[in-house]
Amino acid sequence: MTLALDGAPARTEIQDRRVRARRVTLGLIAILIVTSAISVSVGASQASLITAVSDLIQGRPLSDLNRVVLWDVRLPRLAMGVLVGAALAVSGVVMQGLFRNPLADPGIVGVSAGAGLGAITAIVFGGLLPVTLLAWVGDGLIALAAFLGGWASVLILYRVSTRQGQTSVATMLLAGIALAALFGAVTGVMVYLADDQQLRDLTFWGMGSLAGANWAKVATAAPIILASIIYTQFLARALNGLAMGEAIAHHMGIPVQRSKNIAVLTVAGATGAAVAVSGGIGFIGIVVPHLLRLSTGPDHHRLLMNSALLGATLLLCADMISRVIVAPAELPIGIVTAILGAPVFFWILLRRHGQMRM
Amino acid sequence: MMQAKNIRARLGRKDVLHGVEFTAQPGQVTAIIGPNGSGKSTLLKTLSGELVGTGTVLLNGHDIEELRAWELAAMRGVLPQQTTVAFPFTVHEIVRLGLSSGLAAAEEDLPSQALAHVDLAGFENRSYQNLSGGEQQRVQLARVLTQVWEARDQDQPRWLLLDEPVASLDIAHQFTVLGIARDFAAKGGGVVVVMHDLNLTALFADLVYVLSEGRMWMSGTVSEVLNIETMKQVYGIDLPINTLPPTDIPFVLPQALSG
Repeated sequence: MTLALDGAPARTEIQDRRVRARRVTLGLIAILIVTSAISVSVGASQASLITAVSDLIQGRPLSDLNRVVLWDVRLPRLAMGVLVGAALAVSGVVMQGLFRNPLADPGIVGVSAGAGLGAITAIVFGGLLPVTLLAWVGDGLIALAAFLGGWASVLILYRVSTRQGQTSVATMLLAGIALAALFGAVTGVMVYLADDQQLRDLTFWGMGSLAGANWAKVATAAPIILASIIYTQFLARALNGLAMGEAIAHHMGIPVQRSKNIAVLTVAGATGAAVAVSGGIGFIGIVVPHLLRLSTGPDHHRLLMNSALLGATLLLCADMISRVIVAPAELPIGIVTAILGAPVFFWILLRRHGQMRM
Repeated sequence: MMQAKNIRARLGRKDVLHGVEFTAQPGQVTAIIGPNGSGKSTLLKTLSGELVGTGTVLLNGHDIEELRAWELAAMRGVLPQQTTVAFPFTVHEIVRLGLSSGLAAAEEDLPSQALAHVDLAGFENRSYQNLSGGEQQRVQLARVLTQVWEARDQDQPRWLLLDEPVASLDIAHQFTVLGIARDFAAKGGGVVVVMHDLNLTALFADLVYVLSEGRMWMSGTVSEVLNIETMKQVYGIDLPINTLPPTDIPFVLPQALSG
């Protein structure tokens, strides 16, 4: 009757998706490099990456055109695209792990809206702060406000939609709608109160764009986004455990409450910083993790890093489309990601139809 | 030794446990039985550290509230009644989660060995979400076994806490799983198991605690606990208890629909 605990098990060739995930990482790095090079080369102006690189190699000074277009316009835009794309994708992975649901995305459940409201509040009312304080925080004020807005949204969402460690999909999505409506209303008030210049800033927020990229914005967002992305790498095991619920994660030895706190803070940090510099860009956080889970499985150890790489690449591609499709004008990138991303969202909904627990 | 003193627990507005005392010894299978809603699962959740009630739970002499999550995880594994997994993990990926982080290469083989023990050899690449309830339950047991592989850690026993581990299993696999529990105890580990099936409890448990309405009704060996009085007072049903020679293990066999 008793089963021998040390019997020899039958050998099975284990299909180890971790190996494939490592290969995917290398492939994604290569694709990101190529995409970056193309992204710097493409644009309305005749500036050329090749002449710039050959000038640099041969020690010649850059032409004025190349210096302005490449160094002041396209490179900061590239850096911001990479940072924002990576931040949104990683935020998506962490939120989906935290909420145990592939539909949780900062854009869909109102976290981006919360961060946007924070940013808008800073734009409209920032001028009311004491001058010394303003001088001290500088450009960081909008980022800080966006972070606080995003943080509050994730906390509210989690509190409302999670009972005894299990998240209800329906409640989460409905709470997201309620949050977005509330934030929309408050944003409306802000628009009503704003002057002309602020109004232009606010419109830009709504649609999301990398057009305003400059090195100052990159310098504001980079530390927060990079720190968040690096920090999330330590959440991989916790997110894997949380996929089975908070109780089992606790049984497995995962410090559940601390992991949840870190997850919420990193999502708020990455989303907040991304929204602060680029406005509301949607769907990256849902499309990227979903594609990667299909290819290499849901293990968060690789999913986090690969999502950062693919998110950056996809956002650069969307940015190129937004620059080229109506050139010399520019389509806001948020519109491009929505057109590409919304069908994927529907596709996920259809695939989940029948197994979705409300 | 596992020792719980004066455990009180509340779920919502309802007091579920009213000062329960509980002791389990390593080397034994200790069963907790009782009717639906008597507080069995709540007691197990308190023993596992998942639910913080009032009272003290000592595991190998340590107050579990003072242990860190990973220290507790190195001492005991917990199998809940049922587990839903949010993403499409494979069976191997699920079982592998039982390995602690920073594992040695030698441990890479443990998940497959654990799967073989629960009679799921060759299931490694299957999608967890497509398995039957009973198969999922055995995969989860394999994950727990991977977590507490050796029944003893140096001179300290490890513990398995199982919440109705055989509820969704066919009769052969009920014996497989309870056999694993017995074997773990035989190797010096401790097993605490919440059970509904009284006959299986009689076959596998060394010590039985009977819970009734959040209070410990009685405890003792199977022969001491399983009697007509317990059936009547705790379960509210008149059922004869018979015994099987040669060991005189008691068994309950209903012979008519009205008890």
